[in-house]
Amino acid sequence: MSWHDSALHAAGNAVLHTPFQNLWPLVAAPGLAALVSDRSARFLARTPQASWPAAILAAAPGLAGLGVIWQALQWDVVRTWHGLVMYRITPLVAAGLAAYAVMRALQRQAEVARLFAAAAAPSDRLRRAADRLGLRARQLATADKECFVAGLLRPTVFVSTGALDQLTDDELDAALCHERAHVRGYDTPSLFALSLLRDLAPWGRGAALEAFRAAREANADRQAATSAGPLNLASALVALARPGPALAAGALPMARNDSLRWRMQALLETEAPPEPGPQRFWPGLALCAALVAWPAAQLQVMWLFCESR
Amino acid sequence: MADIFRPSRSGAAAVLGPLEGEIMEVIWKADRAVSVPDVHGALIADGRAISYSAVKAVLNNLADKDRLTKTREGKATYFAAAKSREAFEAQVVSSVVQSLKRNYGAAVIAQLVDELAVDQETLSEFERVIAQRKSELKP
Repeated sequence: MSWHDSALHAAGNAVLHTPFQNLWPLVAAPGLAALVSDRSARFLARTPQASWPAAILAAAPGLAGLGVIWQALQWDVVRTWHGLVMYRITPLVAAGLAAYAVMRALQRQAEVARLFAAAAAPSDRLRRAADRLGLRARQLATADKECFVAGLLRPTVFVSTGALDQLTDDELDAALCHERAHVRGYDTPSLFALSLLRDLAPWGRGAALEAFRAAREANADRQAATSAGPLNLASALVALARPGPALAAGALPMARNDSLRWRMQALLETEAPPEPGPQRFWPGLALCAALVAWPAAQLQVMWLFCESR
Repeated sequence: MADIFRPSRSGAAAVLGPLEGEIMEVIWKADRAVSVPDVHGALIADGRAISYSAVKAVLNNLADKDRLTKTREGKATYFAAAKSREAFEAQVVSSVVQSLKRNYGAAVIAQLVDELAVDQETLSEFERVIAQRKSELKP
């Protein structure tokens, strides 16, 4: 055996024959799934039809992580002598990841509870508009222009006094129709679940989650445009997007992305809608599905191996 | 200074201590600058068993936190609310919403508009197109 073969052998032993050797499934499959998910999400169109592919791509890294964590926390695996040696680090890391995800989810729900406590009963105008559309509504006593849905089990529309002052009755109806589409589409529970899965495998940029949000916005815009008219929704978007007096006087913050522009273009049809190109996200979707099954299967084999010893 | 928010309480007490909240309520109700004996008397009249020195200490704390303004006239010290109840509550609501959006917004809420527009010219252009389309729709 030449010297470099010996060095490689020693390096291989150092990497593989340590208590850390089974940590790799915790990172490898979810990390690879996150990479594939990020790359594939670029090919998703900003249309309602992209919701499901985006949701699957966004969930894949977390589901792969969940499979590994579930297997790593099985007491039967850890109980055997070989299992204890081989998995003593992995269960700790898996438990840490699971605890992190649960803690983040609880923090998010605590923030929503703060929001419900801070909000007041809706004004007559808001109550009438919300009742007509079958929505729960709360009013935020602030001059900031806010309009959004929050709440996991009882999704509620929050509209600020500043937003109510800016919107005409038609625009308010269009805005509430948009929020009703989010409520009917179970968008807040979906976002909560996908965010929880993302925390279980916090690798990659989370591009698929952004694509999912864009697809759900496109869906809500389309439904609101059908119910209340595209021009009313477009003018509501402009009214709320225009900065208030305090911000207008200072520097205008840069937009994070161009979502307002493409939403307005879709509503006003100022440009021809893009031709549907080859759907290049499907191979990524299939690979992500395979990666979800892989770590669980790999750990199952390791578990059988431990049992047989 | 970041407010500590207590969702189980309502009104000003949600971000202030319980006694601080009660004292702020007394001052907002009075709607003028009040002295320590005024506040103490109002709290006793409401059935709150509390010492004069405790009221004085809390008033000074609130002034240190810029919730109250403090003025002296001779030997007497007067306290007035730095912000009206409406302005204070608006500040509390705004801080809760901004905190939620900053920390977890994308994960828990679906916003109608989640950002400011790219620039004023773009918005004005959109407004022009909307107005033109609306005028075309009118018979």
